[in-house]
Amino acid sequence: MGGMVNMAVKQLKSAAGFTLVEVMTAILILSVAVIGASGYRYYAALDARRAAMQTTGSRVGLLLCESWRGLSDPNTFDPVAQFSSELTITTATEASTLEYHYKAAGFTLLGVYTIATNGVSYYAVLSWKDVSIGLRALNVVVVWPPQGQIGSNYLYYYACKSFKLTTYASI
Amino acid sequence: MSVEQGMRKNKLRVQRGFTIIELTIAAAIGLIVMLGITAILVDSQRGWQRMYNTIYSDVVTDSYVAGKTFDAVVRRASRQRISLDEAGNWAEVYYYADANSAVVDRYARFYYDSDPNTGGRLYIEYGTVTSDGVKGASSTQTVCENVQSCTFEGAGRAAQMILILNDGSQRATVMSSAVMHNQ
Repeated sequence: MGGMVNMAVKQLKSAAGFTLVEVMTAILILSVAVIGASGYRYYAALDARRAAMQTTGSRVGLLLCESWRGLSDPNTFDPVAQFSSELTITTATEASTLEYHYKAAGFTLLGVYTIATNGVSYYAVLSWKDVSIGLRALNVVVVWPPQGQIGSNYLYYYACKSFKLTTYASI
Repeated sequence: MSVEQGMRKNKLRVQRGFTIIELTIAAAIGLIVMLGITAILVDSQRGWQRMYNTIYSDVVTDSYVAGKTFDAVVRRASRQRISLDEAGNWAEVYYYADANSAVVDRYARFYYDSDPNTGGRLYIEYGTVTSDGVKGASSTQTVCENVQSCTFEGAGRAAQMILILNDGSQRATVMSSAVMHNQ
């Protein structure tokens, strides 16, 4: 008789459902999993975009560097005149700030240009220096803001990414 | 009430089942949870596919291949001469077969075929060239497909290629410039 009573009590216990604490714990664990997955997706998308921007920035730098070096007279290089039919390229309005931050030390500035492609504004700072008789160093620095647009705050320039190239041309 | 009667009453209470309201509420909650999970999974899959296409789609990989091929071929070319189509549809550079070649004896010709049947392709043709300028093609390779437009230009000792790839869902622009390094 006593055994049958115990069994009934056990059955009652097992069918009692979930307590509030159990449900809250389950929700908490699920929330952590969902927030973790969201964070992973956010950073994966962000890193993919950053990688694409870096690839484009390096290709823009290489394009300018090779085109400049290919000219028989490097003094005549004008990226706006040369690429305006294929690229959205203009002389940069933030030239003085970009020159201050990104022009190579001891080099003479050729120009600062804005190149817009894939929704991102890239800034190219071109400068040169005669390192010996008949030999000129050509410096190209491509700068792009991490969010795609440059801000008005000068401190923002410290957060920009850049790609630097130096090549040499005989003059 | 005897112990036996009390136990039967407990069993009755335990096995009485769920009411229709309980079932409906449970089904509704289950449905909402399942819909939420499905939406998250579908969105994740779409996001993953978009990201994958940004990096590994045919258009993107073809654009890398085209840029690399153009750079590699032009960089080993001789700066003595370059032939360019006036309309910019082809460019031809000349190079040495190997280190023992005394004269420029090979050529590589990039050309764009806008045939609508093939969807636009960029080809490269390799061949021999004599000192008299007589050419003999030896092989032709497809550099990339889905070419929307391709223009070649020259600037001093540099050759430039402006290539636009478009497969209908994705577009990529390749602007490549390379200096002909050899004498």
